[in-house]
Amino acid sequence: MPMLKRFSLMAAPAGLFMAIFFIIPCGVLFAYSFGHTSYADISFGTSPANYLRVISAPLFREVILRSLEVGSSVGLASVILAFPLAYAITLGPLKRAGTFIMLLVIVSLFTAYIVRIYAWRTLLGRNGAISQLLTASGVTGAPLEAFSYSKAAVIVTLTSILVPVAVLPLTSALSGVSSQSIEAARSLGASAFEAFVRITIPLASRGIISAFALTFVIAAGDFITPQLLGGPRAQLAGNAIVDRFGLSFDWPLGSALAFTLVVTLGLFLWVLTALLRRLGVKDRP
Amino acid sequence: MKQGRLSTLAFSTYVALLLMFLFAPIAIVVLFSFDSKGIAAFPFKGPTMEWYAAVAGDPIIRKAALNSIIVAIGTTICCILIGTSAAFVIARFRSRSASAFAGLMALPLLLPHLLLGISLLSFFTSLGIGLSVRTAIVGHVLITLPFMVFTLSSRIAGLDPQIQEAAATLGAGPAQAFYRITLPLIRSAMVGAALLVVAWSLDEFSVSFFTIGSDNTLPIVIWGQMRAGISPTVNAISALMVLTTVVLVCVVHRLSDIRFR
Repeated sequence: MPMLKRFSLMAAPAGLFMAIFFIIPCGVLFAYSFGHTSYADISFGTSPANYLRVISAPLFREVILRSLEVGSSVGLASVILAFPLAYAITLGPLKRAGTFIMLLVIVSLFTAYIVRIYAWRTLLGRNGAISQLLTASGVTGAPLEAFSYSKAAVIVTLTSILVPVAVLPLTSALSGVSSQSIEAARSLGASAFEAFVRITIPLASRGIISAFALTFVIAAGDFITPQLLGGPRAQLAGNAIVDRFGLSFDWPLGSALAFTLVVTLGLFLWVLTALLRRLGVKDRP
Repeated sequence: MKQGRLSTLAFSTYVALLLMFLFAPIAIVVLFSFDSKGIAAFPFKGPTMEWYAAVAGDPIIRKAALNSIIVAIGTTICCILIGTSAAFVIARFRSRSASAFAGLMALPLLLPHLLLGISLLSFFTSLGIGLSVRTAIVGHVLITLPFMVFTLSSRIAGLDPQIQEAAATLGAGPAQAFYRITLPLIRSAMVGAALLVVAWSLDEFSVSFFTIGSDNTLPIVIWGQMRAGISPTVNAISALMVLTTVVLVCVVHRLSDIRFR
């Protein structure tokens, strides 16, 4: 069988599935974003009015900016927290326990998102365990309202959920760093710290960037955690989108908001990697 | 070496603390699922199994559990059927169209699930297709297919292509070579990836939320009970879901050749 025919035959099932259930639906959503809604009727159209509304309304600008802020905080925190673990089980002293540690990380990765958010709510919520402990021990007089439903609660919860996501690319990048190149730097007179900063980090930079990008996109696009733990002042763009698809039934506006969010997230990551590249960090070693 | 022992101690402490940050909230939920007070609050009142009995006796929860299982099995079957040949394409072809294909398969991983959910919702609605367990399966396949494909393709890329060629030289047709040689070599990875797809699908919430309509899965029941105010059975449902995840991941670890590192 000729190469091309075999390729098309083998790529067809998944290719067709992606065309029908991914590309076309995204196209439908994109078409909606230029349409409008009246009562229960949603119609396609060609008007950019929804995008103008997204850009001009302070509410939408605010939630998109907050999504960027929460996304980058969570991305940064996840990478910083996950890095020492990934380092310990690849180049560091916990290599032999690595399989067991990774097994725990994978269990946590596959534990239901909704269960983990629920678990954090039992800890941080108004009558949650932490608030109760603090009240009972006399540290605070009243239940901790300020932290339970806040941006900080959303960031802590999402970070805890996404650390395992960051561990995977970091581990695979660090296991590609040969200990010989680190030893070479050491024998040429570099201190352990210098070798780490000038050899290990640059060689792992691709893993660091993909760990940040993955956790950033998931956190910035989330709507469940802010809904359940955020309170009214920590709602993200995802919540505004879900509202348009639920309560206020304005799918065209919701679609425009969704595409604006995705494009903003993409631009943010693009600018970030461009800046890092200018600083001399390469995204591929 | 003294410094070596110190760094081992420092790293071990750090990793233990980080794992606590990941697992402590879940451990507390599991603990409270056995407490008779029924809300997740200290102090404990006394051990009980009544919430598990309540879960087992609740027809809504039982229906949701059944739906979760149906969706997970449907998703996994679709992933195997669609994903296996796609994995071969990515592992074995080195052309521009093959890398474009790999890019297309990876794309859902890079987008927020929210976008995938609302685009499927718009798509099904504009075609007049009612939302149900069936449409939810489509959503779950969209999310888990990239995982299935890339797990398998990295396994296939590690196989020696000469084994297949040897089979061909010895007179095996392409189909025979596939069933007798290649398939046995990747079977273990396929089973492992399939079980992880089951685990993922059982836990999936955000895409089900948009594509399942008025049907329920367990995560959607939890969401509903949380929004309605805490219900004591959420602890027990959560504990059972965590147990399922632990069992599935351990089975994959023990029985398949998927390595987690």
